[in-house]
Amino acid sequence: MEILQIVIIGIVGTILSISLKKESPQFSLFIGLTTGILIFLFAAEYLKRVIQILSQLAGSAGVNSGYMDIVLKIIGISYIARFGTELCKDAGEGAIASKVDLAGKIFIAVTGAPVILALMEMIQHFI
Amino acid sequence: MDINIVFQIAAAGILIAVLNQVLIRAGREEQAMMTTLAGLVVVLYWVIQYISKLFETVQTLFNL
Repeated sequence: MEILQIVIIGIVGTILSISLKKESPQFSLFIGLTTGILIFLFAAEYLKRVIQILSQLAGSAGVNSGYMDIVLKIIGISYIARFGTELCKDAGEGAIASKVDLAGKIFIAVTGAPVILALMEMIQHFI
Repeated sequence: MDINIVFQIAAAGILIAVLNQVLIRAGREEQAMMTTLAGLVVVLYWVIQYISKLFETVQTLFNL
């Protein structure tokens, strides 16, 4: 089972990161970052399958593909923003983490704006 | 699924920490600082390749 590999990699990365925390904190952050990237690259294959299934479902349900793209874009932005935020928080830099989080929220709001506008028009159309 | 990059970074970290202590004991604090920085740059070079791979994957996956 692949999940076993992922758990093992996570545990090994955590142990190495903690063991280096005292002497050289920079390297423990590098190890945390690399382990996170490895696990994501491993899971990306399955994520691709999930996204294909989702878009097929959306297509068959007649959802406008533009909205599906926006949903995927928002998921991507939120994932990367969270990746950066958690990393900065691990390193103890709470201020930088909150700024990254703020920027992520702003980009999500900007990406999602067309959907909200379309909704408003639809509502005005009914009233 | 090459986990040896994590082991490489851990080995580099331990090596740099030990080298740092040795140089400090030998009274050369500046060289100790320089070796730490050099080690950081090398590891950063390795990690940057993984970060770019991550961003490529995310871009292709979510077509950002």
